[in-house]
Amino acid sequence: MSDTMKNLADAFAGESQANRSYLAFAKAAEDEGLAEVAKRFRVAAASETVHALNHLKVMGGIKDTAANLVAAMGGENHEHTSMYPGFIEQAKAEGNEDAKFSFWAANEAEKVHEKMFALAADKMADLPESTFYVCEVCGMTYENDAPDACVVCSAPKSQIPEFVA
Amino acid sequence: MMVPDTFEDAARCVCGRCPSKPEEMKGFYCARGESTKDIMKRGCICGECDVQIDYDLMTEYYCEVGAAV
Repeated sequence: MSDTMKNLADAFAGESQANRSYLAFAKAAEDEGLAEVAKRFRVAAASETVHALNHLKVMGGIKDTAANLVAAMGGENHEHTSMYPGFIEQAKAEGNEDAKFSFWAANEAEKVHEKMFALAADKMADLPESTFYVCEVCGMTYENDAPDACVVCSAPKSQIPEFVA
Repeated sequence: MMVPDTFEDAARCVCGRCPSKPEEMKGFYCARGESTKDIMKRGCICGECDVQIDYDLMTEYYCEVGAAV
């Protein structure tokens, strides 16, 4: 990999992280009643999204949907079979309960995501229309129905809203 | 009685609606063990939970006392 390709990958990661951080900062500002500060965080977040997507495109990271689904499945599989299990064990060893549960909650959702992408890769244009729900607390993903309480974090159904694309 | 940490039972857990639940993702304390956070006791709704009934649990505030045994 050339230095520039590595720089593009680093920049993509950094811009992606900035996007999510700024959205979290915007929510915090809104909670503090600072609407104009929140707006600036959201504006910057939108800009960082454009940067991230530009970097990804130049890197050749966006292909046809069949290939994108394979890449997505690979990423999700890596997360729940390798990355998060190791992170969970490390958090346990360090006694960091919050980190352990944060990793575990993400790990459970990644398993669902891989299956969701696998079905999409199998059916492609023949996929049935589905409704999805995402837990606002832990990110667990549900297809067509949400439980009374999130199976991962026990958040009530009211915190598992229908996902609107 | 021990409560197995299954998705089926977690989906019936009411911890997420509890006024005493601390700010954390963890819930389903009767199966997963106590919270590491301080519990501000504002009432316990374990008694309303179908999991509590099905496993013959008698205790309250599993978020504080730890998993059922």
